[in-house]
Amino acid sequence: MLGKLIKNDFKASAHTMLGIYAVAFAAFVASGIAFMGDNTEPTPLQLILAVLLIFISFAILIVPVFQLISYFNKSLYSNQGYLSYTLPVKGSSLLLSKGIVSFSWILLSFVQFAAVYVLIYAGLMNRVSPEVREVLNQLYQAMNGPEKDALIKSLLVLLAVALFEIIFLIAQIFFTITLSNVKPFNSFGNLGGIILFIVVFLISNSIFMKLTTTFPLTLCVNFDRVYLAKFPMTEIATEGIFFTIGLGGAIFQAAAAVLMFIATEYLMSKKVNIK
Amino acid sequence: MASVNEKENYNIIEVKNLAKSYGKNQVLNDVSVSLKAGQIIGLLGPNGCGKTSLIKILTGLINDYSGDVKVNGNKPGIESKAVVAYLPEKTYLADWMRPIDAINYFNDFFKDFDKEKALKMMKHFNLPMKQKAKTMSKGMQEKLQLLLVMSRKAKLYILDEPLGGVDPAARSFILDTIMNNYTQDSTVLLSTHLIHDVERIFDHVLMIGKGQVLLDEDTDKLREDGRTIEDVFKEVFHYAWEVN
Repeated sequence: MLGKLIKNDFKASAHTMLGIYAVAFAAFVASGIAFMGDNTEPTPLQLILAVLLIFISFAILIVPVFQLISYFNKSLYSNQGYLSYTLPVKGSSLLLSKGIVSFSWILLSFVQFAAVYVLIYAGLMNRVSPEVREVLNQLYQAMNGPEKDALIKSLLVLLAVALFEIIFLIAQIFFTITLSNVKPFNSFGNLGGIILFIVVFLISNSIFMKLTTTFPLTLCVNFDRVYLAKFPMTEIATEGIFFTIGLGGAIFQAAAAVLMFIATEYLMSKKVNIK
Repeated sequence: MASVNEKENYNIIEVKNLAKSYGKNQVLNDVSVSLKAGQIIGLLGPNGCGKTSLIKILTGLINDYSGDVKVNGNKPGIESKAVVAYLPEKTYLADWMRPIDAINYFNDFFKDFDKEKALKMMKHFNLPMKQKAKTMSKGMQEKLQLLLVMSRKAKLYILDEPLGGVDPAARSFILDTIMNNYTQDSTVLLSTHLIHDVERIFDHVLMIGKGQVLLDEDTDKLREDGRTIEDVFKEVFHYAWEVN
């Protein structure tokens, strides 16, 4: 049944997401065509398209989050909930399906966002003179930027952290929307839901920040290597390392996401009243 | 197929000491009732008497209640949902769904769904296969939901006010669709406050008021002294319109 839920959740959200991806693709192709040629001074059209592309690239990141909030709320807690909650499936399957679909759209949007900037970077590098390129390289090395191997490793670590961040965000959204449909919070309407989200967000992020700075396990990335250090993140950050990731916070995020999914499933199956 | 004896001994719905309140408003108070399978049961009562709350508990839409509830021997959950075909008062289809999408959706999730029958009914109802639900009239949406529910070979059909808010011609159409399509051995629980139009089809009636069961009786017994179900309803619920 989980597979069928995922299929239908993809179908339901595809309309919005594919629409925004199509707009992004069209803007990207138009920009690519406009920037062809040797002229170093950008034309007004090129500038407008560049700004549009940047605007759309950020919209790609934001739209799936709003889509996730709207779809989760609509499909479970509006009239559509009368259908969703009377399907012969577990509450955890409903939740998992929506989680997987939301995660996939957000991840796809991140990939598109990154691809847009990698291609813009490649395009710009192609247009600037060798002298400017050399200056940029020197600037990167002056910032203690890591070598290629270390850079790839650190990007993979950053990607893993970003994935945790997405899962954590989805768990927070699902939990607060569901909590806002349980009494006494259900009498406060949408405003109550927004306030609840802010409260949950602030509490969980303050715990995350505290653990990130005090938990003595930090991933450090410097010029030639990536390594684990048994010091709090704040103490290492002053030693001129390119960047650090506090693993205490990351572990907390993973655990908190699991706990919030369990709590959401409990509320769905024991406490929620569909209006 | 169940024998007559099996049908008589088998309770499709069992409710014991059920209570449900919304804040200080107690809508169901110590309700206990057992309903036998294989009948058409009228769930009757004035607006706001708790019919929809009882239905929502039976279908798993309300979970914070006290008491014991069993549908086909199981607490409301996956097992009961697999055998209950539920038609709510509201239109529950997603905006993006077209009739064909809704039929495929039901076919995906309900093993007892008869897709061929649904497609035939869709043609019979003159529903456009590819028009999105959000652009359909309320009447078309209701027809679509009715055909989805009645295309299931469910053990229990729970129909919440299917006749409310529609004209007499539509009432007749809806009633005919229900009577022509429900599975003969199954049970139909139909809630309504429009008794006159439907009383002929009931085998049993359950009248709810003031949060309690006020009457739980077979219709043959109620009609023995020549009264109609509507007469009985007026007697039972006269308090609702009394002026102090």
